[in-house]
Amino acid sequence: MIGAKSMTAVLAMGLTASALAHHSAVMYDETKTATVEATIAKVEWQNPHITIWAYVSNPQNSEGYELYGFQSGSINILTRGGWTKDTLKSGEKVTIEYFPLKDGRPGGSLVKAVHADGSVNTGDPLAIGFAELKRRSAPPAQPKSPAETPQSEGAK
Amino acid sequence: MTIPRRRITRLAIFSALAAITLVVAPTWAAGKTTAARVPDLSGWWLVEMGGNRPPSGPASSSPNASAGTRAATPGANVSRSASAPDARFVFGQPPFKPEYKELARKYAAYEMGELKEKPPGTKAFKTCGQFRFSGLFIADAEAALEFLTTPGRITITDELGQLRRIYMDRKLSAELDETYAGTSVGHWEGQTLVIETAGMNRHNQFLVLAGGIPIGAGAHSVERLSLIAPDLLQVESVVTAPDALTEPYKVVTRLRRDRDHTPHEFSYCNDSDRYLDPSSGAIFFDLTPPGDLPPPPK
Repeated sequence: MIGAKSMTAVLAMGLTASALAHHSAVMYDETKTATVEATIAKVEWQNPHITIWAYVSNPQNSEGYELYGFQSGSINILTRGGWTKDTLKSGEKVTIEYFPLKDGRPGGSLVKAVHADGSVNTGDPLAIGFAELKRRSAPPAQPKSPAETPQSEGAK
Repeated sequence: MTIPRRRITRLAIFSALAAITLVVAPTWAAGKTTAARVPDLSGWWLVEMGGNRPPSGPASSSPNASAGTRAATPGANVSRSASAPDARFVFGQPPFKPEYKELARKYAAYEMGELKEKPPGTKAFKTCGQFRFSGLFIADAEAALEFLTTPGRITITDELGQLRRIYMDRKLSAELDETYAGTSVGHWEGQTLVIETAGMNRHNQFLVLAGGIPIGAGAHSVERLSLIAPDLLQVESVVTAPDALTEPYKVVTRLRRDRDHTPHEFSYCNDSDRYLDPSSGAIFFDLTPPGDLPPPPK
């Protein structure tokens, strides 16, 4: 997990991914992800961010559904990852993993959308939380012998 | 027998023209040959997300000074596209002077919501503004760019709308007005395009987006562009910023050519962006539903 303070340290140290993203992700809790089964309502396909609107079943709601909103990256970066404006179609049922909004409203920052056929489209790879998530899911590095370890690593 | 004066004049003119032809033609041909040897930079260029490397600390003349020491991991493996970019686009920490380092720390805290007030001297993200060059080659990793070559000039432009005019037929003037893009001149050193830029506005953010930290007066950059493979361009940027940095800051970026790339206009000047208040620049997420949503499924 990476907390807000350590995220600050990351930013202060390196001006890393978020320095190239459009804004900070302060409104999202990027220490955890949530997953919902959703029906796509609409994709606002525009720069500098796309927004995905989706209905999620909620029996407590009078309509039986709740509307969620998910942010992702720009058209430019998403198309490089294989997205098109028709990747998510209205009425399509998908599983969405996302970094939830800290204020509890329904929605967040898209991590990935899993289609019914199992294929996956990932969110904005420049999001700093996305990078951290990928780092955590990566297989552990093989231990290095002292001779293989660069000298600079000892200073980290 | 005497030769008419008019005939002598004609012979003289003919001889002069022949001499000029003999002298100039090979030079012109050689010039053409030299020009033909300049690398072809046509097509669209996309930043290699996984191929960027952090700075090597003090500026080095060796393009391989930091090769591979902290190379990024390969791209995401879950996308439908095998060419999904990688998130670890790390510039590393610029060698800030202590007061700028503290400013960077406070600005990062502000970005993360830990500080309510923007630190004095930093700039908040602008939803819409003219491109500002801060010495690093790219304006935004997301925007593909292209080189437009015309006599005496190379123009770099990209999907974000940056416009950098690189004058190939002059040297930098000692007296330059400060501008957002700065003033750039270039020349070829063999197969390497060398771009020198000065006259950057002292309030330009150190990194174009969300960096917040001004570069200060007297900033200067040298970029060395070279094809390290037919479709792989390496850009070595060295930025000198006497107000902000203790030493030159070096970043190596790689761009891959995609001749089939379909350009997308990439603008922050979007009044309907749900993530930034255009008036204040405040970060938020507007969850007001669009008016044309279909009804929920039954």
